[in-house]
Amino acid sequence: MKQILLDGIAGAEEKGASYAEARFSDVQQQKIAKGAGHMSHCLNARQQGIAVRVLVDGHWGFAATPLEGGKNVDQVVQQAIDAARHAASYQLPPVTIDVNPGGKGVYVTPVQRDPFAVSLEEKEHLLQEADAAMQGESVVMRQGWLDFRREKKLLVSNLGVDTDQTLYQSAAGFSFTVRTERGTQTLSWPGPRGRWFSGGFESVSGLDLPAVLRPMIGEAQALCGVTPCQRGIYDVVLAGDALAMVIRETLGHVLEMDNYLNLPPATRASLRESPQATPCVNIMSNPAFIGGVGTYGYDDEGVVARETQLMKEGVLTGFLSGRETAPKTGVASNGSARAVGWDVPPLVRISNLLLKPGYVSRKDLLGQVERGLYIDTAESISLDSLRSSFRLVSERGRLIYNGRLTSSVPYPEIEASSQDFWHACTAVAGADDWEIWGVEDEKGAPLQVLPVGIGVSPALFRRIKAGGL
Amino acid sequence: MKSTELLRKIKRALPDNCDMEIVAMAGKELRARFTGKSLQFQHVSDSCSICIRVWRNNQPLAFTLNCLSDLNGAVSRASDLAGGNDFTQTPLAAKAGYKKMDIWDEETAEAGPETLQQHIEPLLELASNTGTDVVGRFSVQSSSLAVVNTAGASACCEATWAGFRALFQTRDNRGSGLAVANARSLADLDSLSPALEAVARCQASTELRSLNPGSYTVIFEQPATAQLVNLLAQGLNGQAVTASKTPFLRVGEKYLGDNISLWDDGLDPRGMAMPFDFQGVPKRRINLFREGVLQNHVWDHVTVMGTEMESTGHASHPEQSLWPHPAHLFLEPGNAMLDDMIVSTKRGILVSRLYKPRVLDPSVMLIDGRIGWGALAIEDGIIVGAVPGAELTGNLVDWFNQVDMLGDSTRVDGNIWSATVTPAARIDGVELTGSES
Repeated sequence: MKQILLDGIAGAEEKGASYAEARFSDVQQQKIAKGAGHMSHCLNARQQGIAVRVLVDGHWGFAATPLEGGKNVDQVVQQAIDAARHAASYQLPPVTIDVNPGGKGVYVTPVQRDPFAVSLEEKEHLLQEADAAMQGESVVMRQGWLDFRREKKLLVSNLGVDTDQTLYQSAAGFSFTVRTERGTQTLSWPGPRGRWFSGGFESVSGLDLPAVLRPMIGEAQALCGVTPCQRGIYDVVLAGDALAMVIRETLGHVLEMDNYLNLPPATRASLRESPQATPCVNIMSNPAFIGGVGTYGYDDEGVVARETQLMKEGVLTGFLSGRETAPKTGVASNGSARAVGWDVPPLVRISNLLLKPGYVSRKDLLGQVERGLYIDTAESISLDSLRSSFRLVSERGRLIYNGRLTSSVPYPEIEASSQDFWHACTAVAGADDWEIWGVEDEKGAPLQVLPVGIGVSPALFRRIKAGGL
Repeated sequence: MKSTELLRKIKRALPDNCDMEIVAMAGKELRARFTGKSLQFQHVSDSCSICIRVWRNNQPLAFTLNCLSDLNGAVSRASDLAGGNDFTQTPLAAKAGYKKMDIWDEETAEAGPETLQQHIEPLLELASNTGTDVVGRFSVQSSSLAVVNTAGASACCEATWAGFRALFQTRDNRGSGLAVANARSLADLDSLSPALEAVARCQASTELRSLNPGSYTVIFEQPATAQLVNLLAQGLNGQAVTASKTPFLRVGEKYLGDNISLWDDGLDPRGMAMPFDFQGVPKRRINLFREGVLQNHVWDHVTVMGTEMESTGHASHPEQSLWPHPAHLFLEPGNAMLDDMIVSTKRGILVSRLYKPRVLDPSVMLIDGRIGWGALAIEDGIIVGAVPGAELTGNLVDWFNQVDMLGDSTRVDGNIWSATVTPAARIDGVELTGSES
């Protein structure tokens, strides 16, 4: 396969490409769901193909084909070259890319058990155990799912790139609904969209599902009929999945340089020149972070994964970039360009976005709150098209009184302008409470979906509009 | 690859030792992504998607692949895992005749970058001449679809599709307008009209009007109405009924306003017609609401198991959804012109499209969605400025009881195998729950 790819870039250079990359991708995915009160299913998917991307006279051309299909790599190269030449006929400004030499090497996600070597029976047994733990008199719906992904990819380019990577990700999610005469409540674990892990079957088989899920039934029953929290202004402590979701949507996507460059000049200047958060907010991107679900060795332009500071003490200091976007702000690519599958070109994507832990304990953080709301899962988040404001709804929250978590409330929501929200952050809990979440992220058209890592400690936000749904 | 050839290949692979269905698609796509400063063409050729579905302990087990050469191996793996079923009725469709349809356009199928260029250039010129920025994408697809199963169903067809989506924005970022169009052929694709409308939205957005939370009259233009209708349709599938996850449980009951008639018709060429569903069941018109009264739910051969219902021909692609879905929706238009709707609105919002609308609680159809991309404030019948991002929340059943005007023309919003054809709709009493200042 590698020789086919090398032949492809040699052919592209012969045909006039100043830059050429050829990528083979083989993605395997298995999703298994089990539920009561609805149907279960198992989906096993495999997609393999070759993509060629070229720059001719400063214009991009891209072509892709499945592994078979009657076309040899020369034809795919020719299509990419033709596409670039047509684009060049528009007399648009030529594209300049970062031509720093790329990486060479092999990267494999550390796994103990390849999920694709584990029997369907063993996976069904895991779901069966969880399903049994979610059974109860008032439980009207329950579901559990597992999702495993393995992507093998080879990449070569005329910048010396020669990489061979195999990435594994595994995920699990469980939820149930109880209905009593007082009302209905749904609870999920680890979150409403589950949680992604870097690694193999061991990532999900090690979860002690019955011990976690069984007590949640009583919690859900107790929440039925509870009055939602009153609308008003609260000090809010966000943690876990909920904070990960807000970081991804309100900061992560804004820090992707292609999105940033699409903003009007005045908005870009404002982002660069004025603080976007309080000094306790520090954010790093690290695609090389060990254990992050977004971890890889090289991006899909062959740039070695490396750490970049994106926000220091509330001020933007960097962006996620690829070979095309980085030169537009005079920097080198930090290896954030990725493609999901064989038939799409790479886009600038979040890998692992890490909120730097602060110096207070979670207990002391809560101790700073007189009257507030604690939310650690996100049922959903909605944003406006510019990501300048958001609304987050959770399945349940906890009220905070005088520094202590008290009663649970159903379906709390918070709403804020993104900028006001980050300027309201007064503390981030320390490293002991820091964890990395894996959540799915979407971008592009056709939509490219991949798991990304978001590292968070609980954080305190003052005077946020909140209430019950 | 011709659909008959694709059909022949997957039919040959069917086993004789288990229940199995195979859905295969093969085709190609040419995409163009453009801004005022860049243009990129992307070819995806000979793409193929094959989905094999068997049942194991009464539960579906699906395998998807994109290499026909792996088909026999995948069929063999699926057969090995199938079994343990004690069906009282088969989840497979029986052989049935279906209407041959003309949904293929050779010129669209063979379109190259130079053809797309002819459609994109006027959009770039429009942006340049009106001082707006544009970001968009254009796509032409051709696809063969074939469905077979071990119960004898066998169906195939070929279709083409052309579509574009472009966001025009004023350079101060205050105003924006989204233009969307799609058709079975490039010749039928009118990209300029929606683009002109989108630019008009931009030009009407020189003032910003932040709105206080409260109740407003909202005029949903055709694309936004299509989004609402698609959310509503989530409550009409047989699985939602079986699981009581919809307010629309009883056929014959009046749920919506007198002026709401909604149906699904996969054979109507005004939508993205297709002759059969993804289990090979022939398409036909199914009335969903007639003057607000629920007429039917939609079913496939899997969700009818254990019920007394029959498939209505609404099976989704097994890789994309487990549940049936009405994918060719038509909302009956009214007799109002959009201008009349605006002029007769005292305090309202004109919404082109919602940003990521979602159902928060399917059992009562509680939804929310952010407005953006060309939302305009209306005061005393006049457009007074752009509304910055704001959130609409409400009960969709209530909203479709509060439609007081429906547009006299419809527009199609869809993709190669599905479409929603809707007029604009004016809805009174829609709650705006938050707005940026």
